[in-house]
Amino acid sequence: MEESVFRLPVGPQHPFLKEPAKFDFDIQGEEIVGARMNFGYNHRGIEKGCEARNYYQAMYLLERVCGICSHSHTTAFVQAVEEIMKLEVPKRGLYLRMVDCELERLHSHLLWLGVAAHEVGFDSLFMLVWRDRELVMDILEKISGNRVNYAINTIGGVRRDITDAQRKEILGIMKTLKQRLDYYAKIGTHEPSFVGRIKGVGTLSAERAAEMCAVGPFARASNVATDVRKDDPYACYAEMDFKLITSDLCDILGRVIVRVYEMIESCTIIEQLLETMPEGEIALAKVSRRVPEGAAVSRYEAPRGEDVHFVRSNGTDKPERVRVRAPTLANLEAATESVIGAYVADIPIAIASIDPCFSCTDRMAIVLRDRKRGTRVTTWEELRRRGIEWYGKNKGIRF
Amino acid sequence: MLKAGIFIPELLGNLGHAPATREYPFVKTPVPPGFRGTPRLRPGLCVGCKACMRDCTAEAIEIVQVPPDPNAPPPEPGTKNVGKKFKMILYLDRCVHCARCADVCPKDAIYLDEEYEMANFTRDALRLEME
Repeated sequence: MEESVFRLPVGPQHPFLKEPAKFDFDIQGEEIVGARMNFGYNHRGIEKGCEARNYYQAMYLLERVCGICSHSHTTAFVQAVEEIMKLEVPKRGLYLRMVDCELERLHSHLLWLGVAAHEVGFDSLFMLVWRDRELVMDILEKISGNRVNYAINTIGGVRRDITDAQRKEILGIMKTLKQRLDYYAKIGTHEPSFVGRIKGVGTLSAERAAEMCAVGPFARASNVATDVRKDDPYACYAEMDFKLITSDLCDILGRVIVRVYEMIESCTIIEQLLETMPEGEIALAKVSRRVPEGAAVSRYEAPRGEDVHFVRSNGTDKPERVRVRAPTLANLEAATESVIGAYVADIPIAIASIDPCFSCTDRMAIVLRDRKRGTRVTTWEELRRRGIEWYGKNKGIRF
Repeated sequence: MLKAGIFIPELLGNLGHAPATREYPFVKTPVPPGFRGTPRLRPGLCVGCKACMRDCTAEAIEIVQVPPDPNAPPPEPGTKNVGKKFKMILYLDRCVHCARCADVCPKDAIYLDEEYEMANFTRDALRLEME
């Protein structure tokens, strides 16, 4: 007898989800045979908010798109604005931007590694990784003034310089962190309870990853060599010597390996940046508040993958249109597909393996009428009529 | 190559370590210099250009002119304008601590202090007037 398929809804609110999103899994026994996703619960109107603010205000607003990759969003936006204005940012400013970018990658990947360890029930690793993450957070707080929203960027450069003492301190911490990361690489590949839980889970072939336009460490773990820092170098990445890490394992173990080795590469980049940092100005002295008419697309390798910003200006001091494409949007569909074939207990770690951020992703959701799935759209007039009827019937109130 | 117990030396090593956390309300963590806390006004320096008000991301700043004191003695004839006085009303519940106000101020009249315990029980208590 053929086994029946059961539909398992997960979300919008669910203990494994840190933010609201909706998943429907078709399960046959314990095995997942189909998966669908839906999101649109986090619309905050940030793009529209940018249109009502000037470029400086929009920059700080866009920093709040995401709490982890806050520097990524401002840098992508600022790069687009600088392209429209044809500004040449001083080299020291670009180097300082890159230091922050790599520190952010370090703290984001360390956070993810801790979350991944927690999702598979390996809480000792979670605690240790997050303890070491504090080293990076402390540096970020010292050089920018805040742990989360660094606000280091400005149009035409950066706002704060680093002192020689800070430079030496960061170099010392990078040395410690490299040793710790080597140790985590050893645990990630040798600890039987961890490896046994994630090996062969959530597989996504290289062909499918490329077809579904996956980005970032998620795509690189499926052996797709894509990295904006190498493909389309921005800032001074073309001058840096670093390796593009890929893995042919195509599963969650591959994603752990890619992220851990990428962190070691980030430490190397930071060391190179601090050792070869040129002297000079950190930002352009005078930048016009009005941006000439034009449009630009900016690509940026955020910790989670490629972040794309589109800015169109109309000659005033306010942007006409700002469009944000966060990396999670590119990865979600591929992640949902990678769950197929896994067990129900693998859902949390399989979805978390892309490091999802639904708040970054959600821009606007349009509900299409789908009679087959029973989607209904209630108009404002109908809602009002029903309200009047309900109050008339139950409370005796006539409008 | 899998190896059981690779984690044990680290766990044993941590037994002798001091805790990595602090007992927060009793032991406060000092913030590094340059921390972006609450914006403060040096009223003597403010010229009322309202550049901070214009650029504030969260629209949390209001600069208003303080009405002149009626009891103050009139300025002596021949002296120049004694200068207008301004005060800043800061809505701390909206402030995002980006320090744009301090950056954009042409007279360095705004600075950010190192206060980080800003929570309060009522919204009114978060409306700060500085003059």
